[in-house]
Amino acid sequence: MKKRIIIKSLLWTLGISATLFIVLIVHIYMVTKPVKYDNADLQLARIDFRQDLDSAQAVDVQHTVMAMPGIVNVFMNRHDRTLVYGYRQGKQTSEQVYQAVMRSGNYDAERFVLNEKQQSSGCPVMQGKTSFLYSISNGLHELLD
Amino acid sequence: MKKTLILMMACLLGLSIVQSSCKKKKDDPEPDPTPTTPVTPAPSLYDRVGGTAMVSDPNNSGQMIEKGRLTLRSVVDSSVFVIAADTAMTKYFGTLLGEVGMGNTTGFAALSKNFTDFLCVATGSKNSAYAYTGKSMKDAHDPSKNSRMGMKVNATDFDRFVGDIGTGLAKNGVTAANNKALVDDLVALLYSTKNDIVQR
Repeated sequence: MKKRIIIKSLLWTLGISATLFIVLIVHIYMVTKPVKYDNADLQLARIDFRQDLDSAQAVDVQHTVMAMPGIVNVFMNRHDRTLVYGYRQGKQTSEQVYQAVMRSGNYDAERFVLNEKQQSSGCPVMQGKTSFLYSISNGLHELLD
Repeated sequence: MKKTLILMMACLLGLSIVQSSCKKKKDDPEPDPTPTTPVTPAPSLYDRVGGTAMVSDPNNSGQMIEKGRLTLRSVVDSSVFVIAADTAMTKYFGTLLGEVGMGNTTGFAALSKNFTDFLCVATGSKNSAYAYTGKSMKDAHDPSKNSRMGMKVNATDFDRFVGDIGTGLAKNGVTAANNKALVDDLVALLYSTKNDIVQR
């Protein structure tokens, strides 16, 4: 008799827990909608030059990069000796762009790579992509939509 | 039973008459005998950069976008390149250059969307789809309330940031020489956040 009550209680507990979990999942799915980003696959990358570039070299470097497939935009900051460009993921890589720049003029330059500290800190408007709720809702929408 | 039903219906009818007469009074106020000149509200900054007119979105073929948002997004996107190339800004915006795996949202896309949303709301957009849902400016830039903020922003870096936005504006053909009023208003808008963002 006692055993039956325990089994019955366990089944009820499990049933209620499962129902509540399903309700939670449905609720998360209903109240969160996936954020739609323009240019979600547009990646920025930077090349830091260790030498000054004259205006002709700056134009040449920009033309070299802009002519590559998958490149969206290029910006040269001669004062800071940096070149920033945007490329479509899957159509180009920052390593290939760097190699192309080096071939074009054998410059003293390096590819800017973020260290771990820089990766984990920065502009607050880019936060929130690692939260528990974000992961669950994003996963749910990816699974069900 | 029948009598009660008739009484209830009569009460309901009376109530609805009273309610409709009150509503009419509220909606139709007494005309003001003094003549007034119609006041046209001044266009918001959002209206001045294009407003709610729908145009095709060059980034998403087949989709439409409000012209005001398209203008602001173009300025933001150009400015993000300038910011990413500014070595003094790397300590705040390094994540822009962090490479992510295929299928993940890049730092560029995240900043472009959030900053454009913020500017849309701040310039007067009423479109709820562009609502800014982030932290308050003060909390977002306070390292004790936002773990992603590695350090507090100083006034010099804030001025430099506004300068980078100015360069982004110029890349979109808007300069103090050809549209001083618009540049001044946008700069004033950015500086209205300075007290919340500069915390050292």
